[in-house]
Amino acid sequence: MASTPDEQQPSKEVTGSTKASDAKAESDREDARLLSAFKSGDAKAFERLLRKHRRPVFNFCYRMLRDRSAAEDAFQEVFLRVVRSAPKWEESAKVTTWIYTIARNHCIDATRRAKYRRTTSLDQTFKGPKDGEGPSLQERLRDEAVVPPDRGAESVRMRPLILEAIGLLSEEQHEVFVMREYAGLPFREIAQVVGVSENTIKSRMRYALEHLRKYLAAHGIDGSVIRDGEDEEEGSRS
Amino acid sequence: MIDPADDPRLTSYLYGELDDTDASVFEAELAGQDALSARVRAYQRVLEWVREEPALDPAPELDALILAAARKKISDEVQDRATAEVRWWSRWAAGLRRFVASPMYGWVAVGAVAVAVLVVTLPMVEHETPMVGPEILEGEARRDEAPRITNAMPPPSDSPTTTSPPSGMGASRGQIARGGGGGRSPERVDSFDSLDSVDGIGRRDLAKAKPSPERQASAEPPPLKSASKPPSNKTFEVPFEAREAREAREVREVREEAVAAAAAAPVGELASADDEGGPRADREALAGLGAGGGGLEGGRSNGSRPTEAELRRAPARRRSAPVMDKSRGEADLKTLGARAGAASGAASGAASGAAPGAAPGAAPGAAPAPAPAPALTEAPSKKEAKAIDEAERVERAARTMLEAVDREVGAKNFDGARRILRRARANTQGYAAYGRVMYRWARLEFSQNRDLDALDYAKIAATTPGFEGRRAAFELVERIATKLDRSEEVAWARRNLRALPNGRAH
Repeated sequence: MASTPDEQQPSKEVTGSTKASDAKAESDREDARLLSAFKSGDAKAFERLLRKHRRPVFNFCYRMLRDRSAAEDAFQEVFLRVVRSAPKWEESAKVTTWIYTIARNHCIDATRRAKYRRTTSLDQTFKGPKDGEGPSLQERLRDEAVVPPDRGAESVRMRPLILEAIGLLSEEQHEVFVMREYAGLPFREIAQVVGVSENTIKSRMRYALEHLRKYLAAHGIDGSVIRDGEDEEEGSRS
Repeated sequence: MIDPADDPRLTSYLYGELDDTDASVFEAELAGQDALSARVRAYQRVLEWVREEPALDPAPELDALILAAARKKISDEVQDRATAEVRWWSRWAAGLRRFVASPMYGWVAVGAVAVAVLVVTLPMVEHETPMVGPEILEGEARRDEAPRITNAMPPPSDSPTTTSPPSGMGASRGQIARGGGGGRSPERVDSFDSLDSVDGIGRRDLAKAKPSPERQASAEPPPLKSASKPPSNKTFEVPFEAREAREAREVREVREEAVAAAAAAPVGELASADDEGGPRADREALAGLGAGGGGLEGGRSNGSRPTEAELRRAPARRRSAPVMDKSRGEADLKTLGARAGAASGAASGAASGAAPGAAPGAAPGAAPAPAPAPALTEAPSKKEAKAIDEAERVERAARTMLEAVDREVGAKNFDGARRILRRARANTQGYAAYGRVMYRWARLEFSQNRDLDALDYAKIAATTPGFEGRRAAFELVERIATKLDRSEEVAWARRNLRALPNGRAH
């Protein structure tokens, strides 16, 4: 198994899990305070709340809708709904859960209305850096497959592939993946937003990761790691 | 052995959501499974690539739009709160506008004009056609037994309460017709019917008709539709306008007298139903009662305690304060004046020295009054209707404030609840509502272990006449005083509880 010691120790996040949960709890309390203050007529409190959540909410909308202008419309609509519905918000509910429930519902509606395509054809061309048409995904994959797995350059080349792979996720896996990776919601809150159990959410996330791994491995991306894992898995099975 | 496809710990581990113990256990398991370790590393690599994707920011102008919407929302709410107190007026005005715009308004207006025309023209017709003739004499003789002021204006509506005047009152038109015998000759039925329809019997027709004993015996009186009319022109000895002015003046004098008596009564007397060892309500609190509150005790210059029945009757009287029925005699007028005085917070005794509802025979110049209380006209006058509306408004306001107090208490905002109660105490008019406010306040303070305050407020509530929860208030006083080990106040509360109807036996 060709792996470095730090790769074998993927538990860097685990050691700080308690601190992270404390920080999350404090963040939730601050959100509640800000929204309560806004309900009491404090516009500054809402401004702080907006500044805190604008980026993750916008990225969530963008990843869900995959269109910047649609995402900006959705972002604006989500926060306007927050403004309108603030009097109905109860302190027992988490602000982030509440906001992302609004955002998810809006994105689902917008997707249905606009019939955004959830999958991308392999023949679809990508826009180049100057809005010119670039190579198709098939061509890019073919080209990228021969590129040596240099990590720095690799990530730049990987980006469109990753996006494509994410775009091929099922709707259920996609929303879980986006909420976790782009909005930073913990699985418990994702479960509340989506309305299923936490284990179901974790399972969907695991399948999403597996899908991405297989997609990239199928195109020879970073084979040193991914194929290594597959080889070892196959070896253990044998 | 972990199946990497099914173990939910794998995802939690990847995202650092396992606690330290579970993470250690999972890592120990990972160490024994190379394939699983490789899978974990592959997932981590994928996630790294995903996270290298830069986060995007929305356009800054969107923030400005959203913040503007938030500020507008706040300003709207502030405005709503500011206008909440006058919203009842807007609703009323909107209702009036809707009514004016509705087709019904036209019919109501036409009806009102018609009634006004009738009211104005009927007395003029009667003045022009004084009744003379022998057929009236019997009716006149009966009228002499009645109180002298019987030629009042007919009531504006056909109230059923006035259809049968009590015995001893002026002769009705039916009696006139029966006594005169010539009320309805068969050949003149049509013309009489037409006249009846406007609540009058043609005097000329009556005068022309000959008295007929047969008809006198057999003719049924026409159905009465209003209070009795003056059967003879003798009742016009005093011009009607002058008599009405005199009546109004008398009522006004009676009311002023009663109000003065109420104002002169000491505050403690107003507040306390039982002075023997009982507490005195603070003047500030009682100042909030307002002049509109009907009070029985305020006018009890002799210091006697009102009965509980009287206390219960007081608000009811205020709501159904009778209007003057001018078909009654002066004695009735005096009684009505006294009742009106009681309804406006004055003492009934101060008006005429007689209790409300007492026989009005003591009035000067009046014929013996009927034994039972006469059926009074229940239709409220404009002033009385306004007073009733005001009472209902006060009642609603108090109820709303108490609901707000309950909400604040439910939200554990006790200071907010106290602020509302303080405002309610200052603004509440009427004893019943005031008592409810003070009782609620007492309960609040008692629940917050502010026993001394609670005791004071409970005492005020318990001694507030007209408050329907006096029993509960006295029980609360007893409870708090027992807690504070104040034997005198415990005894006082128990004494009062025994004195109340259905009092407890100790």
